[in-house]
Amino acid sequence: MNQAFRAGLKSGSTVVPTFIAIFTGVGIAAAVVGMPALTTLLSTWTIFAAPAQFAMIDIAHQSSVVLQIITVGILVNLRFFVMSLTLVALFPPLPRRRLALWAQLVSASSYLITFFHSRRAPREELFDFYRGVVVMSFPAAVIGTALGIWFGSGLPALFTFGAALFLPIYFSLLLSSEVRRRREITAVTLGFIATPPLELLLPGWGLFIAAIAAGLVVGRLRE
Amino acid sequence: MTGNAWLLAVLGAGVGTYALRAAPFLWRPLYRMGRRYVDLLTNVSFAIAAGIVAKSLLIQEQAIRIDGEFWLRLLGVVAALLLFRFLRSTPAALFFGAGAAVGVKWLLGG
Repeated sequence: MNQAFRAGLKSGSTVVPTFIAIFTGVGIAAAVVGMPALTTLLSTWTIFAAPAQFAMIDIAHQSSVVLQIITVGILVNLRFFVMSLTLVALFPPLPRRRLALWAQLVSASSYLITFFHSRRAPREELFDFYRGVVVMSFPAAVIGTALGIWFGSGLPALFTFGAALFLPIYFSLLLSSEVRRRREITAVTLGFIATPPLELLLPGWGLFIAAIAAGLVVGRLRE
Repeated sequence: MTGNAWLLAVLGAGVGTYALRAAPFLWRPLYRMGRRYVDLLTNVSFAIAAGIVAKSLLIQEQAIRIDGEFWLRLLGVVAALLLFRFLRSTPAALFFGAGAAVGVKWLLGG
């Protein structure tokens, strides 16, 4: 186990409580809509994206057309394309077979934590660091889903409230220590202001659209 | 929906999502594209992080809510940022912020 991998494990541990809380919600929602327990666990293994899993469960209340549910799940996950595109730019050249395996575990957290780490670590370390992050965070998603299935809505509200706070607090800390340049501050401000209304307007898409728009606006301002 | 229909939906969405995640790593033109637009993708990354914070603080049950829980969540973030400023320790700030919000919520009656 090298140093970069260990650093990834340490950083990944900070999002474990939030992952457990969010995926507990997935387990509960899936149980309510009647998704079999093993299929719910399989959905976290294969999709590993709570917003898409919630969207699929939500649409299942209105439609039982499988193709429609698949389409919703994939569309909500379009943001992973941009995240992987960014990671490609960060990682050193690696054998494609190795990347193919680890690509499955790209999530907003693993991508952002690796992105922030890339600002102070050499490029050669980033892939091992990313592996450390996902080795720590992925099991938390599976455990959370299982908790949701088994305990249902019986978990204390204070527990879910506190656990869900770890993600916004962690990203606030990363932003406060990493954002220095004017263009970075502009991107953060635009993302912060534009995301909530856009997310309400286009659930599952707002975050993605606001971020792309913020990136383009900052690029144009620089020109 | 039947168990088999759910299985099909989960596998279909899983395969589609994997394609989105893996394509930039495996398909050469996309791989090159990622390297060409590093600046844009850097700014997009910052905006995504800020958007996740905004979404977590403001959106509850598919609405923007500035209610008691919003102020508690904000308290958690501010408390963490303040402690981080003095200690420069991420885990300490993280647990302090979440603990402060949970503690106040508990004192107010959960």
